[in-house]
Amino acid sequence: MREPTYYILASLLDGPLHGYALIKRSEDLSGGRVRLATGTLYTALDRLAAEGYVRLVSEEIVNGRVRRSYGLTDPGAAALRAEAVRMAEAARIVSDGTAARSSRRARPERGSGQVTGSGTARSGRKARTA
Amino acid sequence: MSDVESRARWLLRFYPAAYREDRAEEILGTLLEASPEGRHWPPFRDARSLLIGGMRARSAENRRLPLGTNLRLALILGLAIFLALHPATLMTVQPFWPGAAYEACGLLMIATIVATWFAPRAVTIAIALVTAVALGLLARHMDGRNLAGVASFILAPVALAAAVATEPVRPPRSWLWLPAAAGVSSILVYLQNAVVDLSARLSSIAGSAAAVIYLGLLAAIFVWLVTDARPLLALVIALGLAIEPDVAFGALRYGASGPQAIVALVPVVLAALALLRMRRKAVVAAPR
Repeated sequence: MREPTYYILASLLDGPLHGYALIKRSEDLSGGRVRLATGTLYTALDRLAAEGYVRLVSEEIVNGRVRRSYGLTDPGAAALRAEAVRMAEAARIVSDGTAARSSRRARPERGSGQVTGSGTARSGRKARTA
Repeated sequence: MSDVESRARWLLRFYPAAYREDRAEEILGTLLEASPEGRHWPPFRDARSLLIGGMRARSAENRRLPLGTNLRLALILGLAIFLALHPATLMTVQPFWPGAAYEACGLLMIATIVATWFAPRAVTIAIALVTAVALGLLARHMDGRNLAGVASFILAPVALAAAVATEPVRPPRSWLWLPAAAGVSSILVYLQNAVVDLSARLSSIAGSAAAVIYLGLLAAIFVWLVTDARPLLALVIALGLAIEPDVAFGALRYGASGPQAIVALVPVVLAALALLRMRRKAVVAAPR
């Protein structure tokens, strides 16, 4: 799942939103990283609706124009959650030092045993609590 | 209507008409909310996204139809372009054809094209078959060297009738300008070849105009590949019908030459390119 898609779905977790609100919410949630352009948003919404991840929830008329709100479907929520779990697992490799530890183990010792030891201990504790 | 709104409306024309009807107001609303106050143009990134989004929507619309339908529509368009190219130019090649009979045939070819887009299918098929018969009768006046070319003239309306008979989907109106442009360029070539007495100056203007139209047509068709491969396939069919019988006939009679082989290969390569693109789109469009 690409980052804009992820943030569009995540924006809808708290309830349906209309186009501009979706753009703003994605920007807020991503700390300003994901700034959806209007055309990009609607291309993504069309695709997500075709995949059954998002559906049209309501229509109202604002300033003489139709404004549609979109909501997350159950398959959409499930896909979002699966992506979150995948990213959390990917992040754990780095944040828990699993990858760093195995790469250090591959290198010859340079008298930094204390650092390696503490890293192992921390990841060991996390693994037990998880 | 504010500046931004009218310009945003213009940008929305990148989207296909059916899509616009459904979504334009909604997208416009979002775009205006996203545009800062006091601007005359929508933000550049929004404009760019509408261009890309419009192209995506168009290409999604074009791949909605099954591959078989798209192939037949391309065939119909190609035959229409071929028929449009010839009412005028044939006269310069064969000025000894009986004049009134020739003009009747030219009108029938044009009627076939118009009917394909506007008349009921049965009427289109009838006109196409009458055209084929008329061209067949005219062919008796041709000499042997041109028989191969004549074969494609008779074949084209017959194939068009067959394609229309088996395909209930009508080619889109937005394609009609292709045979129209082909027809205009062929009339200009006819004028340039001075069958009608024109001054040298007028004749060269007509020739340049025909070349400009022809090159513009080619450029448009290649740009069109972004959203639709069918016009390129159609052009290949039209060119193939115009070139291949002559090349094949020449090769049979005088032996094949290198340049001839290359000329004969160009449509084949272009057709492969168009088909690859159409197939790719069909695969993407398959239900998930």
